[in-house]
Amino acid sequence: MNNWLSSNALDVCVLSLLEQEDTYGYVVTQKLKEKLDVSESTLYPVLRRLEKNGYLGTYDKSFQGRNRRYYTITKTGITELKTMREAWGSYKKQMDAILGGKK
Amino acid sequence: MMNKTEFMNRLKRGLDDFPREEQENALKYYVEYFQEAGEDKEDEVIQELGDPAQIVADIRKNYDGKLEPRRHQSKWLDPWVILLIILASPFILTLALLVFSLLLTIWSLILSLGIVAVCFAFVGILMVVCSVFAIPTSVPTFFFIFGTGLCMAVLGFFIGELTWYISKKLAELLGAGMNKWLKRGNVHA
Repeated sequence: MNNWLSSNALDVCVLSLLEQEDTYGYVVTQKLKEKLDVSESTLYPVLRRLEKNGYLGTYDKSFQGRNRRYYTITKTGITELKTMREAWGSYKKQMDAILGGKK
Repeated sequence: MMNKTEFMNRLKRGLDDFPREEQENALKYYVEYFQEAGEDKEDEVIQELGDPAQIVADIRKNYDGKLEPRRHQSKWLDPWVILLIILASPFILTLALLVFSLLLTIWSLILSLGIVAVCFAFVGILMVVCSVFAIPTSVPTFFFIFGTGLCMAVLGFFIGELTWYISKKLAELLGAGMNKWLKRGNVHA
């Protein structure tokens, strides 16, 4: 059952990034900007929603006199990420089949 | 192009009906974002983040909690505002008393003018009527009393008209002033 379309592409990207390491909002944005064309996208609503759904946790760390709020992926988040990855996999296969792209 | 303060203000106002914690959370994110980019990168960041209204819309779209209009409450129940009102109350009271006595003075002036008008008119009419009785005694006297009485009556009516006009105008002014003041209060609410 494909439910890729019901998930948010940004969600899975953010979760995927945070799976690798904890980091704070500014870095998440910069990293995503590198990989995707999301220069106009603002990530705060996404991060906040993921946090509210229990996929992310936050903690504060001070650095050079200012605060950095770090985001970290939770166990629930990792599970969700796995599900989303599978959904993406099957969606990609289906699209490739329809579009006749490379397998 | 707007600056950081303007940007943050617009964000804050757009989220005024959010629970305070949510609002602060969002603002904190962007304050930290600006700090991370560096003070010299303020303009670039504002460019990159785009229209604060759009950000507010996105935040609202992704928010599934309850929202209540909070503006009225947050503006007037702010502890600083309450403190200010308490400190200013003697001045406010004095000012109110001043305005009240001014209004009272104007009112009594108009009232006196009105009374004068009525008296003139009354006496004038009385004179005109009574002047008839002078005819058998002395006709010039009759003319004199009649004429004076007529003048007084006319004067009385004239003053009466003036008083009426002035009081109407003042009432209009007062009404308009109160409307404006009330409307201003509503906008803040």
